[in-house]
Amino acid sequence: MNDNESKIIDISMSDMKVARKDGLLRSSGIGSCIVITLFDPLKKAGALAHPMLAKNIGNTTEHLLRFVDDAIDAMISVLEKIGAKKSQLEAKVIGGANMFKVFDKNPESIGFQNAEAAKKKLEKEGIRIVANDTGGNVGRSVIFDVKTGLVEVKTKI
Amino acid sequence: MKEQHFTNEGIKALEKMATEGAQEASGALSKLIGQKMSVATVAVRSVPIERVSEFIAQPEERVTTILMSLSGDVGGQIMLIYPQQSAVNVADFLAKRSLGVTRELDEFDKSALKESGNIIAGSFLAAISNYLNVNMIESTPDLATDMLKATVDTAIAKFVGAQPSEAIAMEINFGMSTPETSEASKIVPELQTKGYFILLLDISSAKKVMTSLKGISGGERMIQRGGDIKE
Repeated sequence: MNDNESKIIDISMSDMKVARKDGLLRSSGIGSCIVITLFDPLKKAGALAHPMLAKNIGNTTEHLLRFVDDAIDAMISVLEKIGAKKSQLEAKVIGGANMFKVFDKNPESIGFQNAEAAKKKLEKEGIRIVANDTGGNVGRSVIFDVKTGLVEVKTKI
Repeated sequence: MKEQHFTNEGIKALEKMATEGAQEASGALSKLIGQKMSVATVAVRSVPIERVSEFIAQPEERVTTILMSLSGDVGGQIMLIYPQQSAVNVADFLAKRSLGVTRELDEFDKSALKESGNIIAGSFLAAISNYLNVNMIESTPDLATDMLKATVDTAIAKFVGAQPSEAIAMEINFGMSTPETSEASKIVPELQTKGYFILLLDISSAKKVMTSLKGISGGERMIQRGGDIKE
């Protein structure tokens, strides 16, 4: 366990990290945010991003990792830099919950929009989604094992 | 850093304002639960929005978060966060049950906790509206029980998504104790009841608050950091 703890890299909201070989990428307490993992099984390389919003409405050039499209672009770019191939990448999409009934319902909840934006962007980039755990009204935590590609999702409710 | 829109003097002025608000809010809560309550600490921090939950507890800690939006002259968002043990304690107080009876919140408890959020936020805002001479109105509350970061980050995403500008977060930490539980809680940690009050303001609202604060001559009260008010 201690050995594993030392390999864990935490990724908070509006951030993205990459790991190779035996790294563990973790994001804890995902509500309406969306977590996308990309894994190259041949290269044993992976990236995890944790954007909070579907669209960059103000076209800001700052805090780009807050936005789904920009975060996915950043993941692909950094994975390619370390030798991963886009055509080999497998994606998993987690989160996008609807946590507050009153605040998060119209027209579509932030969580729903985030999940849809991630799926659309991955499709556009030609990246296969191999697993999807989105929606509902429960928060999630994720650990992504870059050695195996396994993504573990847990909840507290 | 771009987020640093407040100077040290600004933070101190906000702490003073928050203390006034916290005193009002604790008074309102005392009336609501029929117990004498006191505010243990008031702390105001200006932090980047991504880091708001870090100063409260671990990301996966189970909490009940009551969320309200803020409108009027100043726009923003308010969160009242109870660690789960505190949430059930407050529910017991509100329903006049013996402390420790409640393990899980039912719909009645949730409704009562929302009302506690309404009253605490309302009295807090009334005090600082009066202090600043600005109009601030809170919306009807919504509630979620889940991991701390899941609830807080969702509220933040909603806030940032509605107005794509930067935001300032002010955190006010309430430590609450009653005469009956203050001694006992030193031995039984479950009796400790605490809450966190977070105010998110967009930059234009934060500037309005700062401008109003500059117009107020301070000095009649001194605040000790994390302590009580000294007259």
